[in-house]
Amino acid sequence: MRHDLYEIVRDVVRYVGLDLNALQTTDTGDGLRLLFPCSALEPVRVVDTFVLGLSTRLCEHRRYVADTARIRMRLAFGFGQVEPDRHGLTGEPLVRVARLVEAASLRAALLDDDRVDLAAVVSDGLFDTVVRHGHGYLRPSCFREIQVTVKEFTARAWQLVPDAGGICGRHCAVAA
Amino acid sequence: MDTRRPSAARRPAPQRGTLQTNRRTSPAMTRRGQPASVQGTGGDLSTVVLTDVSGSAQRDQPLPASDAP
Repeated sequence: MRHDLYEIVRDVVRYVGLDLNALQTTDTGDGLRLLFPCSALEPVRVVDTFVLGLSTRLCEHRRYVADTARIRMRLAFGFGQVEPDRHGLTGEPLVRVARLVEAASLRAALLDDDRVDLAAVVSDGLFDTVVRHGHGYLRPSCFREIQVTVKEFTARAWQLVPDAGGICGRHCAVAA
Repeated sequence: MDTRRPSAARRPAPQRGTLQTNRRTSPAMTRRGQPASVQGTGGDLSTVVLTDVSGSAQRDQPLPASDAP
């Protein structure tokens, strides 16, 4: 599973001309955390690339692996200042995405519909700064407002509507 | 022989076609299309992406050595 995860993410990153090995990545055990400095890739392209790219790659992956090897994924985006410290990296966005990806609403999106491969959420700051203005492929209407409460963390965020634009697996399930 | 560096005014202008800028190229790419390091120097404004596998029966498979972070 981990090998497939790396290959899927590597393909998504390669699509925008970047090399996964050249990025700041952290293996979280069940996933990956990636950092994209604004100078490397605009935030709006990061959101588009990962939502659309992962949707496509997870759909393809499902077609050629057994059901037991299928990968379903939660995805969280944050934006802000990240700084190095003696233990690695530190910054509010890192904590925020760690909480957002645990949102009950994301888990529910996967539990409620077995056809969905990807559940994604965007932080409120990133949504307001980037997504809301509609410069990307994903329109603001592709997201719905949610309230995320995990541990002591409570914040507004924006969850991708599962069938927004025909992505996130539903069309794949119909075609399969 | 005069070994001093020429001043900016006397420095020869670059020949046409030798400029190394390419506006269509992402700043994360080198001239030959090879990905440059985009890890940043710290303190950068960045987009953070966190993926988490929510379901797979094979999640405990070991990671290939070449993919180790």
